[in-house]
Amino acid sequence: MAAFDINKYRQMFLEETQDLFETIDSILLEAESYGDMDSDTINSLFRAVHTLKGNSASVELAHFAALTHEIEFFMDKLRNGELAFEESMAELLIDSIDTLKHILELELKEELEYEHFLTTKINLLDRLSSYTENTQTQIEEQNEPLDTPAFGLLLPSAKGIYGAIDTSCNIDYNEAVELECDGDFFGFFDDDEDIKSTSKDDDSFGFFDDVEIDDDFFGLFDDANTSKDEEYFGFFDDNIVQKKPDIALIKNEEKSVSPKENTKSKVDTNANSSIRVDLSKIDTLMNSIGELVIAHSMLSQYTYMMNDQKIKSDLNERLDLIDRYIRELQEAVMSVRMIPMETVFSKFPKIIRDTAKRLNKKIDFRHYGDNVEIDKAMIEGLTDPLTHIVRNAMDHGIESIDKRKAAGKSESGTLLMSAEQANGQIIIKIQDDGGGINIEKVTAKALQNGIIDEAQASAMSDDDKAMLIFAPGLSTAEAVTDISGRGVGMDVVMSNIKQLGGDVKVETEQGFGSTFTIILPLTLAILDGLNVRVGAEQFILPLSSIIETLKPESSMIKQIGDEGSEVLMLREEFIPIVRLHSVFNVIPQNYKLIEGLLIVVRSGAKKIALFIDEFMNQQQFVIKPLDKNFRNAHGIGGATVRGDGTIGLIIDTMNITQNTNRRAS
Amino acid sequence: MSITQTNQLLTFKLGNETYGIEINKVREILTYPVVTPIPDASRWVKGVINLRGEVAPIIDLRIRFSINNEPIYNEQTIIIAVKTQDARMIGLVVDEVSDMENVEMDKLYPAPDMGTSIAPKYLKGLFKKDDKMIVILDIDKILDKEEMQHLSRHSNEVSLNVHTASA
Repeated sequence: MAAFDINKYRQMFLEETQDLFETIDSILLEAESYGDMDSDTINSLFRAVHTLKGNSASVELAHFAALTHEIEFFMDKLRNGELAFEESMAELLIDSIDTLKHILELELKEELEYEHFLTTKINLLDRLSSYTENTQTQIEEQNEPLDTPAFGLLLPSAKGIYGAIDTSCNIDYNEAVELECDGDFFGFFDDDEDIKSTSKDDDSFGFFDDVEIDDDFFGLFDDANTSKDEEYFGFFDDNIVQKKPDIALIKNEEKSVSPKENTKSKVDTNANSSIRVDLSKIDTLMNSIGELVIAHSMLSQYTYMMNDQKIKSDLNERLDLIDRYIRELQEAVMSVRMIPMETVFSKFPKIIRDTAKRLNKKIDFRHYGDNVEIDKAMIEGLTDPLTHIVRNAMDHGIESIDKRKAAGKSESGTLLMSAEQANGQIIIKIQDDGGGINIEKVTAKALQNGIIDEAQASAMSDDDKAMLIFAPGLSTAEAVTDISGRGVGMDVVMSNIKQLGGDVKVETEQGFGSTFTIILPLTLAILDGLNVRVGAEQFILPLSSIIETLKPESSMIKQIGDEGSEVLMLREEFIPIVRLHSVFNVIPQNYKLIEGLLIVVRSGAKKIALFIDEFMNQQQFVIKPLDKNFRNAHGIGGATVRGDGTIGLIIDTMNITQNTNRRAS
Repeated sequence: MSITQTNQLLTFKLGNETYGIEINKVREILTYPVVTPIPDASRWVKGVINLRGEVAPIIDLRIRFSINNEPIYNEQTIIIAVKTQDARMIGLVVDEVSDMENVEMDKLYPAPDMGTSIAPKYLKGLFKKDDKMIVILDIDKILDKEEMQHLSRHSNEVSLNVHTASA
């Protein structure tokens, strides 16, 4: 194997690839809807694909790179005018990009089978060549070198490898139509012998210099690639151009990095002066600021003990100044974590297009609030639930074209996505104009699955019933499709959003569509919480989970079973009581429920009532993980540093019930 | 096992014995702060504190290795904050911090199979200074992530209110 850790670079590659794919997708989707592409667009498309190829080869994803090369080659023809853009090309290219993603996934997992790769490639070539019939011969010429998927860029940092190059083969495709490279001519990296044995099969390795494309593109091979090459047939017979590796070559490699950067800046004009920063570095910054805040409060505390009023007020004045700067610093660092919602929205046109195609529905997708900013750390957790809601809305919500016509609606369904910021929260809405949720059906299913009983059902409002779709194991889809309908999904949506400290609501109107509202805290790092006291200990309860607090009367409390499980009877509803002191092993002030307080909280789809002694103040807390240095604890979702520098524990209401369930069983 | 990278030790006392840890593992030495107990933790996990912005557990080595099962915590109680190989920050409660010692490599003895309060697998070796014996702890073994995961939970015994903070 190569002498450097490829995975380190693959991570970088993947991040960049994600961006590139998004760029490519959005260009293609636009081209599809307009039915045309101007030369600038074609150029940026070409550059994106070209970068993709170069990057992938550099991280030894040979098969992926080979396929990318095919598409790049096709796009090059578009670019230099050999081919004229046709409307149907956009679809072909979108499909091709999907194929690429698929191959990339397999290759990364090392599950890519050679046969599968070959079939995929032949299919791709077939489709591409249907446009290039007249230039068929040229394609063949160009294709053959691609059977050696081993071209690549060496990352400049992988210096160790340069030294290992013995001899190299440089192939200029403009001249070399068919090539044969004898293994002796090539320079390889570690396992020379290995390579020689494979190269007996007339494999071709070497440097590519696509002068024609005008972008320098060079590749070096290592034995990982050559072992795959064994399976390729050698198409290359003569006209070999060989070069010993010399300084010029190495220079070229360095140069080859620059077109990559150029491409990026041209493709993504927003990113011309941005850098990629590891989130952990920002967390470190936040931590330091947190420390600064605590140090500051210690100092202000100290001034209270001073006797000299003059010094005291002078000092306080300066402390106030420092306080202001700390706040500014804090805001600045927080803003670094924030990225516009556009990043989230931009994923959807593609998903919606693909899903609409499969479902044979027409969807008009619109999004608002692109500039609303959201915590970067939240985006990962948000994409999956959003995708699920969108797919669900398209599959079950929006009706088929015929049904829509019959209902007097326009042929294409509308899907609206919006983001707004209000009251320190982010509100994301997904709205469809489909048939709405069939509440009777959902209720019937919930009754059948034992999620609710008759009494509960009759007490529920329509909105409550609609919320039942978030209960685990509930799917009303008559047919399970490959898009949605397995009944695992909406409950996952709920729990994912909960994990982000948010909440999901659904409103629906039969025949007119549904609106999903996701409410998220502005940032993952800060939480609104209520301090609750149990005995001598204080815990923090996330405000978003609290439904109501009450002082129970003895008539409201019922004992169930001989185990002494207690339930709270609240407006015809039975809510299990969880004694926080026994979950957290502390001595409470009150053992009798009527002497303390009950807080009704959401725990997943259910409600529970937590028994506490007293509730204290409400406050914002900076969340810190407990398991970074230690491990997670039952019923605890995280920790925070309180004003006095001690640690406060944040209650995880979901986790608490799991704990009590297990104890009961 | 021998120490090759460092030759400076921070020595401290647990009960009557003197122990040492490599100085490059030590991040901070602090007096016993207000510790927030973790509900489901063993007795030797005193809880968590804020250590340079991180939530760090406090482990009492005296209880962990049954040197003193009813230790007292006061202003004299010392915590040595260490950073493990996998970058976890953990505070260790010790009786008193003694000194710095230079380790002379040729005087390092392998840990004996018996006779020490702490099992040999947690030790790097013994070091003799004049007539004193210093037991060198292997912090990464003692604070091994896996081991902490399952040892640090209090057992299934009905331990009602046993370990509410004594701090």
